[in-house]
Amino acid sequence: MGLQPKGATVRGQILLGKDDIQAMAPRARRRLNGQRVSLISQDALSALNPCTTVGYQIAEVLMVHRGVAKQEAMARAVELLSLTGIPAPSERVNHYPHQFSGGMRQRALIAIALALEPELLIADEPTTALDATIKAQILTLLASLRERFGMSILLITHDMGAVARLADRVLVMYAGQAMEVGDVASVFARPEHPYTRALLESMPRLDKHGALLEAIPGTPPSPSEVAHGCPFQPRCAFAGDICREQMPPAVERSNGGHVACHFALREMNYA
Amino acid sequence: MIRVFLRQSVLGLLVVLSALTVTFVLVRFSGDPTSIILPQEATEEQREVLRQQLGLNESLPAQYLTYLGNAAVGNFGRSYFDSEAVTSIVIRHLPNTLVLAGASLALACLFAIPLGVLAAVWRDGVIDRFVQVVAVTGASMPSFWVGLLLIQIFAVGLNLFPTYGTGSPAHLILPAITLAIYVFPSLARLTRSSMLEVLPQSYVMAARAKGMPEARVIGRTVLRNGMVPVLALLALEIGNLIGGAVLTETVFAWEGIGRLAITSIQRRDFPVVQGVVAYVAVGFVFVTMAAEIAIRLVNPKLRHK
Repeated sequence: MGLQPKGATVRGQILLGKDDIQAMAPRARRRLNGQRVSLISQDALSALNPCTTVGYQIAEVLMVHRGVAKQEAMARAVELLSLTGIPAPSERVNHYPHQFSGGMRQRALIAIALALEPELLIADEPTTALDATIKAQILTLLASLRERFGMSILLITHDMGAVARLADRVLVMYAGQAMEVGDVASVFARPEHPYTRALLESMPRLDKHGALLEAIPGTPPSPSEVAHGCPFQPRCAFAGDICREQMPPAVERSNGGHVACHFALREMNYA
Repeated sequence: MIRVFLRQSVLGLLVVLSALTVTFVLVRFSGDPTSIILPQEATEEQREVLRQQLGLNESLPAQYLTYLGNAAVGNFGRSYFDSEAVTSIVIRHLPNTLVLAGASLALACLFAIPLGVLAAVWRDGVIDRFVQVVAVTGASMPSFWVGLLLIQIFAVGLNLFPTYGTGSPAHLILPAITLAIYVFPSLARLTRSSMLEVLPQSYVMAARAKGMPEARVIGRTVLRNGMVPVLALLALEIGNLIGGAVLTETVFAWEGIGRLAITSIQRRDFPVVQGVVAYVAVGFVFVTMAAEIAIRLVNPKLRHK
């Protein structure tokens, strides 16, 4: 969304529909934010301006992008708040963020993001700061709003449960590199990359009561000391010499999608 | 909000009362007024008669109670020298001080706040360096020296403004600039650091993610959130300036409260000194209260606490 700090390195290409975002002029790119692409971030409290009412923060998107008059925009803010399931929205519009609970703040952020009905909603760990019941509610809300507005959601998360619930396709990344990509059903049922597999195995399960939680040995590398070759190689149970020398190319998975591993676990049957 | 108001009122009353008490005691330590009012060759009997007239030979607690009782109804007595009522003397000098304070603060805000904001937005850029240098320079120059320097350059050298005195708008310019230079450094630096604290907050990034133009992000989101400490500092400076900028008023012979206080102290004109302090203390309390309210209007989180 063009929010990276000055001097950041951006590689590759970003396409929104058929438009190359990086080729756009800064002004056009700024207009894209909110209109075609929206962001909801993980910490809903710090993403809301403490000095302004929640309603105004929703209305201002309509006022700036569409030139809607303030009164009309505030009326629309009430509708958006009620759409995201906030009780008594006509009172809540005039409240300040600190008067909202964690789950309501996240709903308010979603209302802001939806104000202009964007094509793409980027949800950056939308549920990390929330407790389990609220988390489930927010995921259900996102799923229903996706249907209603016909938009796509790009969900960035550590939470495999949220992926299973919301996503169609999943891209597993490690240290900034794509490890495996494919349909959620296929990747979850038959992970071909050792990292994906280890990740799924480390989830708590209801059917393995009393067993120790599986964990991946070691810790994720800091961005400055990513290993040579495959970034996951120092922690990988299957790593060989070739993994230390070169990054594996992406190859087709047996059930569609791609996997980047020298020893893709085709023969493994994960159950 | 009402509780805040009540608490501030009680605190304010205590501040004014302590100021009255401290001045009452201190002026009486400063010496015997009759030794200044009467010529040196006056006899002890003549002095005694004058003390009796001025009420100075009563016991201190009695004097104190009379003083407080009169002060409560706004009567601070008359000057020892020209018998003019203290209140009317203060009221005559007050507008000059207010005009000077207002002009210099407006001037300081006009430059310090925008420059502080721009310095923070383009951190380490040209404006930032400029503000740092100007702030350090400004803070290192005592105001009486700046005043003399300005007189030397603009009044004596270039003959643009009068050297001293009160009266026309032209008289106002040099003292106002002097005081603005005095206020500028702290104001600009506080604005800058306060903005720097707000800029990395996620709600600033969130505003950009909403597609808000950068000028709106800085002008609305960042400025409003960074304003609280700046308002508090401004209140303090207003309080200082309505107490009279003694040095600046003296250098420019500006007929303000500060100069009135100094002259009266030198002449041991007890009623005038006490009256000036009382009015300034009340003014200070009102400005602080206004600032507390303004801060709550800017920051709703404080409002609900």
